[in-house]
Amino acid sequence: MKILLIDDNSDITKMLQKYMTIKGHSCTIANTGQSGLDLINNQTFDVVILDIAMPTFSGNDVIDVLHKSGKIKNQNIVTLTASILTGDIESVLKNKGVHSCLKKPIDPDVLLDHIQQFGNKNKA
Amino acid sequence: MLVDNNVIFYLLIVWAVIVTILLIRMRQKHIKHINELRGDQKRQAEQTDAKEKRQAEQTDAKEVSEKLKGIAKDEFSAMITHELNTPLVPILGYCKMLKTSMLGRIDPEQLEAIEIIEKNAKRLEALIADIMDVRKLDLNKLRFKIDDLSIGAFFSNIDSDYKKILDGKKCQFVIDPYNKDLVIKTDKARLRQVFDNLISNSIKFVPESNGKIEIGCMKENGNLVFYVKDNGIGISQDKQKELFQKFYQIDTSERRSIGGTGLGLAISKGIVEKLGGIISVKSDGKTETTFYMKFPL
Ligand SMILES: Nc1ncnc2c1ncn2[C@@H]1O[C@H](COP(=O)(O)OP(=O)(O)OP(=O)(O)O)[C@@H](O)[C@H]1O
Ligand SMILES: [Mg+2]
Repeated sequence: MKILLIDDNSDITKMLQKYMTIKGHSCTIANTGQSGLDLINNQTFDVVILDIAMPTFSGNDVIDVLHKSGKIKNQNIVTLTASILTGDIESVLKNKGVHSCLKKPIDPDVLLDHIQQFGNKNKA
Repeated sequence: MLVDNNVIFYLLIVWAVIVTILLIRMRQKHIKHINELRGDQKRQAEQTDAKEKRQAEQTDAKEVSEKLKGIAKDEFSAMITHELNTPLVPILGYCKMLKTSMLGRIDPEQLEAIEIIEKNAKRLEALIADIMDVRKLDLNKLRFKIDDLSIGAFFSNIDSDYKKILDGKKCQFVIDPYNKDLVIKTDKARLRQVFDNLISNSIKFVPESNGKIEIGCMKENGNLVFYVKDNGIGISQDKQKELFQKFYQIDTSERRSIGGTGLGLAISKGIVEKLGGIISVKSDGKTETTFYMKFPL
């Protein structure tokens, strides 16, 4: 599976990249929302794992841009958030075409299980 | 073993330092945000027409103070969860990878150390979740997903989840679902959370041999009453009233060694009430405790 992981916390991206690689997937990292967006605009990924709370250019901003350009229709996106108001965020994101909203801390096994559904499949 | 203890000790210190730094940073961010908001509102007010100025300022001031109150509550909690949960991602992730030998083989002593780190990190995770639930209950922001709940499935799930733990403790676990085919409307996950809190309390107090925990439900005057009963150490009459308060823990010598934060029952009460029910306790003060959750049918 071709995964893009966007999170400003490099300890998290390093850990998850290692995990996904060992499990046999290709995992590209972006540590800012902007660089992640650039990657999405130039390549296709089976799934993008996107952190919501990032400084300057947040996960929400990434989604807004993709939503406006219509690109969100052919990109599977799973968001991660460590915040309290998950419920509120979730409904807003789903309306914009985000597949799901997972809570941090997340067990890497659970995350992989969850994104397995996007393997070799394009967004319906 | 000495090395392992040192590793854990070191990790705990690092953890404490990180949390302290984060809390200070969060506080600064929070104050900055509020100051920014104050600045924005002030600038806005300056731009208004001179005639309307006095009036505008008055309403603005009111709005700002309301808004500030809201932000102080919401955003501060949001920040706290974010900052406390984030470091747990790599900690728990690496524990998992080390444990499953993804980063190379590990010997039993190292495995034990990793499992202790993992257990404590999970404890922190649960504690953060509890604190946030209390917060959300206070702010009236706890969300409920009301759905069909099959009583039979609900109790058989609890049975399979606790069977192993309780068998290991040689504690009897009796489940009486009353009517397996009964279906009610409630929030499955939240009701389960209440049961988890009550059962985890019972497990703490049942005797080491001949422990017994009974759970189930029954019909009573048009109500459905769930219960969790144990043959632990009981709760005296005067303590029963205070039990459901936040951070309340009964402090006696026989209980002191038993861990906890005193949030379980406060959260349970909050949840049961939001689901339209009443929670209560009955105990002889010595050997028996039963918690009841009554919902109108
Ligand atoms: N079944 C029980 N038998 C005897 N005492 C109990 C029982 N359940 C709760 N208590 C007492 O009530 C107090 C409050 O319980 P509560 O579940 O709110 O907190 P806790 O278990 O100490 O911590 P937490 O649930 O947050 O981990 C406990 O300290 C305990 O002494
Ligand atoms: Mg408890």
